[in-house]
Amino acid sequence: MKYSEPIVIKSNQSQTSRRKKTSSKKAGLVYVLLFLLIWGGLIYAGFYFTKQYLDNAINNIQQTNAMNIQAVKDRLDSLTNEMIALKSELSSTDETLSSSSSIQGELRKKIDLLDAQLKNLEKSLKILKEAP
Amino acid sequence: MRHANLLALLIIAPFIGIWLACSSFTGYAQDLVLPAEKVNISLHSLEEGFKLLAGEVSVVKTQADEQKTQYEEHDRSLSSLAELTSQHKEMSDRIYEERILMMLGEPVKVHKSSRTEIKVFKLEELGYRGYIAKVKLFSPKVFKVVLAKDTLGEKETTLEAVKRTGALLGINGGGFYTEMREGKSYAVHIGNVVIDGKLITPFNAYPGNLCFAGVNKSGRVIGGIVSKKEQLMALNPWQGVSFIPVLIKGGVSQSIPAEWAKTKQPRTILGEYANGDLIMIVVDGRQADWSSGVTLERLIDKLVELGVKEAYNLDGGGSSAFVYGGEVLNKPSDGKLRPVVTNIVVMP
Repeated sequence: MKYSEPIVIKSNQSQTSRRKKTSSKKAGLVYVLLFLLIWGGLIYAGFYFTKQYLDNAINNIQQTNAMNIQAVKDRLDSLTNEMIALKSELSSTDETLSSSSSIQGELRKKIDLLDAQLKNLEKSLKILKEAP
Repeated sequence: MRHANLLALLIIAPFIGIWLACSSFTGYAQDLVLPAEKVNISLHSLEEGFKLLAGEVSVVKTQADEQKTQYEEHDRSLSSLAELTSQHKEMSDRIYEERILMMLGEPVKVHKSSRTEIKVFKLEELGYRGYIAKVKLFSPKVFKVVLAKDTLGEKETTLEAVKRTGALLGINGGGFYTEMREGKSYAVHIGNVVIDGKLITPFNAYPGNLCFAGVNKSGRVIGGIVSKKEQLMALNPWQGVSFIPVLIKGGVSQSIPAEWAKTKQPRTILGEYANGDLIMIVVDGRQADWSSGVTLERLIDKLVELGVKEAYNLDGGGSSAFVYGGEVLNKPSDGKLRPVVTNIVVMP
């Protein structure tokens, strides 16, 4: 029995050492997990912050663009309306000019007719002059 | 401790990257903004240009409207002038007509259709009587020279010709003579006769004062002494006969051959007034108790007094005949109508 005691002590020491190693490994694993957890959290927070920031910035740009586009659209609408009015006026002017051109043609015909009538009248007056 | 610092750096590193990226994004983000200022400047320029254009269009429209109004005023003025001119011409024509009618007196026969207007007047002068027809040709085709029985060599009276053709008015036409051909009497017209624009026989270049008298395709009296076919065709004859002499041409009295000037004879005259109205006169003669005839000199004076501007003497003597509405109005010197080669008729 006496001879077997050191062996038991050795065995106990070895077991203790093994237990220490095991608990050390476990603690490292916890640290790693904890680190990963914190790191992941920070990445998410960074992602969230960045996304918010970019979304906000883009949103602002979009609003600015929308307002600018709306203003341009309004002015273009106004111009379109004026263009329609101008088109109508041009069309009316075109009709007036066509009508004027037509009247001018008629005038030319009437001048020719009047010329012929005046010649006839002159002839008739000459005849009358020779009346008995 | 060193491990802790390294760990902290490791943790912070991505955030530094994110911070750098975000801080530069603000600068880049400005590039995403639409260049509204530039667009606004362009738009403003466009609007200004558009306003100018609209203003100019408005000016053009105003000018066009004014021009149109002026044209319309001119149009109205011209219409009014044309109407006035037309009225004056009608008045002038009417006055001329009244003056002619005043000289001719009251018509004894009147006919008016879409093709012609015929007014018949009695001619009663000191020593001679006869009839005058004043004819307006609305369609020149109603004036016809008729060859006796439509056959060369034949003769027929003016009344027969009028009845045969369905005419309303008829007078005798050109001169003629009769010769024997193959034992038969053959009547030959003297000079040239044109019917419907064609010479009925080859051109007869008879020398002397023989004249052609007729109407052209416009219904105006034409005539004169023609020695060549080209001269005759240049007159554009539609109907016509030949005799002697020319009495009045272009309003001027012509000199009459002595042998024609002083003798009183029955006469047939074709003439024209200045307004284009035809005048056809038949004077009776060789009847002391009715009409002893007229010299061509006196007849010219009478024609001038009536206002006639063109006049040609046609075949007279016993040939002179005036038929209206199927009735012989004059008194032929032979006591009856003489058959002749050509007659002049006017369709109703």
